Amino acid sequence: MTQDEGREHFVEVSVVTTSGVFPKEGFDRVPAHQKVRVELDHAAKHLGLTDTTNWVAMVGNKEINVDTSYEENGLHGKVEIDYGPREGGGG
Amino acid sequence: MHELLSRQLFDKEAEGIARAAEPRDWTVFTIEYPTIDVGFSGEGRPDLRVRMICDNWDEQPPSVQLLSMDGAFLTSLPRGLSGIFNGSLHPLTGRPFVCMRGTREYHTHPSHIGDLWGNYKGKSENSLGGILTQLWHAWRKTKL
Repeated sequence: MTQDEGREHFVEVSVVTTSGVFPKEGFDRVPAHQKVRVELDHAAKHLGLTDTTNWVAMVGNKEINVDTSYEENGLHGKVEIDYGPREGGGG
Repeated sequence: MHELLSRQLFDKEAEGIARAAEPRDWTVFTIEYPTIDVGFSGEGRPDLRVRMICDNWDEQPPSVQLLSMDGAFLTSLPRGLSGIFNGSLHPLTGRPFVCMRGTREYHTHPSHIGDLWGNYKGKSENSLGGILTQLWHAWRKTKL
């Protein structure tokens, strides 16, 4: 194992919603191998979001898979996640 | 609902909408009770301005007006807009409208009159920011 392989990698994450930003200031430092959903769940709890089952997470213009890690989504460094509901039914 | 209470609810939600507008590249025309007026634009998609009239929030859902970026009411939908964006004329407004739960035009349309706003009110996705976000995601799906 190389020195780099033995070192845990981190990303800095901020979650932006129209109900507020989590954390309130700056970024949370989380392991890069952690599933994105973990931080989104923290954000939902702190921002008082109810029922986020139909929500989508985006970084830039790209939708990310919240059930995989930051690494698997190709994310590193500072990551600002836009989190909000997809359009609902109607028509 | 008393206007003061409606205004307080609106103002509480408006702050988060203004914060999210910048990373989403929304053009903010106004966010002031009872109006949220923002524009969406981006490469490969038709420009669209949406004005949410939020009087009596949250006793009733916002009315959503579809506009050109210069503020004129749309008389037809720009090419590419579909899905929840309905090009037929709403019987009450006489204009193209958003046919999506959480908008006044949906809940007052004869096709959905029995689908009450009260069934959706209070959920995060049906906050003012949630409804606006849904409109934005619907717009993002369009391609010229």
